[in-house]
Amino acid sequence: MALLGSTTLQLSLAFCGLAFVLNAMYLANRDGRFFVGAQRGLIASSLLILIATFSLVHQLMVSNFSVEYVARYSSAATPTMYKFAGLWAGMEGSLLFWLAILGIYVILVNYLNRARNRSLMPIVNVVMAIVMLFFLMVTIFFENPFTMLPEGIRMQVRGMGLNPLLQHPVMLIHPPMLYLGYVGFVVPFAFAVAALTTRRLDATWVRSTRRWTLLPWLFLAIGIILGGRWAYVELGWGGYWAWDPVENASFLPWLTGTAYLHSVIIQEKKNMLRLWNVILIMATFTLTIFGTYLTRSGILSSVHAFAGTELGIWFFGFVMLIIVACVILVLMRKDELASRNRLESFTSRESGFLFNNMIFVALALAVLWGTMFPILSEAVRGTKITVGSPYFDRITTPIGLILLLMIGIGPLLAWRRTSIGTMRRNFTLPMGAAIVVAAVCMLLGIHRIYPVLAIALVAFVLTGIVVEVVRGIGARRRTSGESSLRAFLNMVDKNRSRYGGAIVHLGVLLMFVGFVGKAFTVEQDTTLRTGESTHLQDYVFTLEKHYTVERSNHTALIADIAVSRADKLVTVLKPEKRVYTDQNNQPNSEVAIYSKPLEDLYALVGGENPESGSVVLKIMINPLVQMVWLGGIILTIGTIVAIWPSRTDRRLREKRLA
Amino acid sequence: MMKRAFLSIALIFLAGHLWGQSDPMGKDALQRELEYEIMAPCCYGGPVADHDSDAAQKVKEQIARLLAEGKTKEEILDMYVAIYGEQILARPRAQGFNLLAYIMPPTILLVGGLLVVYFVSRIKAPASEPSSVESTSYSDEFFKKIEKEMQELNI
Repeated sequence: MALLGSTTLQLSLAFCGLAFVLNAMYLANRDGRFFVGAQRGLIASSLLILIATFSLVHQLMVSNFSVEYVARYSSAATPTMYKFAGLWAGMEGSLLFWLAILGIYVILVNYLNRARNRSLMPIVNVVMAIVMLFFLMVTIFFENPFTMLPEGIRMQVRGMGLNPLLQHPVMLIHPPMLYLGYVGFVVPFAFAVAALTTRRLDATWVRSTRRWTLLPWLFLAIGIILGGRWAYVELGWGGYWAWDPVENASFLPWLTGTAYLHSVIIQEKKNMLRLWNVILIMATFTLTIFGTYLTRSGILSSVHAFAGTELGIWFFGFVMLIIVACVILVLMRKDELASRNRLESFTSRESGFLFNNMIFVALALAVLWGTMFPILSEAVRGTKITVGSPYFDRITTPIGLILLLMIGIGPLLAWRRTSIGTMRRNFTLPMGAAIVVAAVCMLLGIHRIYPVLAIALVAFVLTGIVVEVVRGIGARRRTSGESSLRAFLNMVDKNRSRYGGAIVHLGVLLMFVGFVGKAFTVEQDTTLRTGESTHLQDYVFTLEKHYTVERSNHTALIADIAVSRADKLVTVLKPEKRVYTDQNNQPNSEVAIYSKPLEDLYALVGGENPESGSVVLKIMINPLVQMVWLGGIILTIGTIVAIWPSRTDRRLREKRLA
Repeated sequence: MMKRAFLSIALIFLAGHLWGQSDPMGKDALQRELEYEIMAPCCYGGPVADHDSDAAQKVKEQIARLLAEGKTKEEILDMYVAIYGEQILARPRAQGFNLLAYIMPPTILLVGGLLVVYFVSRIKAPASEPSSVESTSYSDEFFKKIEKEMQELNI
């Protein structure tokens, strides 16, 4: 089976190369047979990649330790579902998984556009073939997951097992979501390049790729949120976002992708910002590759590590190739991309979108700057520095608050121009709500400026959304006599992108509330003997007992901590300190969390002192964390609402098919 | 309108800065802040506050001892920089070349804002040019569209 994987991967490279050549021949002489041949070649290449991927999964499942990758990322004791997760646990498997997802996108894009976008598809396929070729070459020549161990040591190898940190259910979903997001942006990017090349620069390519952009954006968002959830429940520091370069690498394309999703609305409605939209989607795709380069080249550990990895040089070269090609293409079409329509006023929704875009891009640049600054500093001064979460918190919080303000202002502005009367009517209630909420916060003793501002802005945006929805329902009820629920459902169905967007904003608001909660976290490091207690806020934490349990691939020290408030038992937390026997006795903490709607009780066991019989514990009370996850769910629902075709769309489609 | 917007941006940055500066701190809070300002010297993977390695634990204990001895925050940070180099700080000090790390983000925001203002001004229709459609709020326009659609569908 390993041979099958290796062979199919090489065949895939051959088919992909052939598809590229045939596509080029089609573009040169417009003979349709070449296009069909190229399309089939690319699909065959994708199918072969999928076979190779299944082959690696099979090797992992049957624990074939003669394959080096299997030996490094699984063991006989690794639970089955985590053997599967081994596919994305290491560099080689990750690259193959990247390719498999690209293959799926290639097949879907070609199938769904079999009768559409005929003029764009050849270029779309060329772009996807180039990306596929690059990743195939890197995988086959530098990071082949099917490399066999030397004969002599095969029999002795029993597998190193999967990193304990990755042995968590979230890790079965988080990486695939991220990859679906990263790779998915290749589709709108390829369409943008096709539109530029073929000079079809109206809103057609934007409309054709609306769902192809929303989907990877959603996958990336889910991936990022699940990554946060994993960090929260697995890493044991009580937070969910550390501004780690790997996290930033996923956040950057999401930010520019979000900016793009907003600014394409202007192109669809006004045929403006065409140049800007092309730049944004190109930047988004480039950032997905750049993120891979950043996290895979080793450059973040030291600027000098760059030259030490062949892979880093190849990725750097590919990123440069993309940037140069994009710049040349955009410069060649600069005049045709210029806006022909005009803005009428600063107080228009169009201007609101522009400012919103600027803030997203500024936030992305600020995060990129912070991520790259250690490399710059080392290159210029020769001194290693750290740019960690205190820096990013300080820099991004004000920008985030301005963004929150713009989320609220944008929908309250009218298209073209907002009259003073409309402004008064639209802004009075939200501003009133913000002022009242800020005053209540101050009265409750919250005097820290950022939390108060954030909560006031949340109230501002939320009131704006509620007012808009209530007015919409009222208008429908007046004209049709529908019930409020029916009116609401019909209103959403008639304008899914608008109200889907409003639901997404609602999710983002909840997440901001969760972020505010982080400012009020309390924690305590303590050492307790059985029966001893400690107080944190209104809660009493009592160590009832601690004991050791042997499991299939680890030994766990478990502490039973009874938590009570006002003499009533709230819960018993059971954090674990595990030592993985198949991982060179690597220790790992399993956090115990008791979630309530407004706060989480969070406990961690650090270890035990056998002499004194005491256990080292870390306990935390994390307010409002649930809002982050709930916000993520609402964001997902909102995006699905926006993606799902409306009844009118479905009717039109049925008519077209009939 | 634009002036007000920029003033608001400046105020948000300034207020946050002042808040950060003036927040009075007890010893526990200072200990906590220092634990977030100093990286765990075992792997530099995160601040000592978030690490449960032996090295991080040792730093936490040292910080508590130094604070008890009456050392200030800056003195403690200086001491760690002298031992481990600048990499031990979770964020670079805002001085010399590192000042760039702090100046650039607000500059990007400001320049971005100015560019948008310039762009909107440049492509804005002249005030004298009559608008082809009367300015209405989006909501009004949207509700009219709903009514029209409902009439078409005979609802």
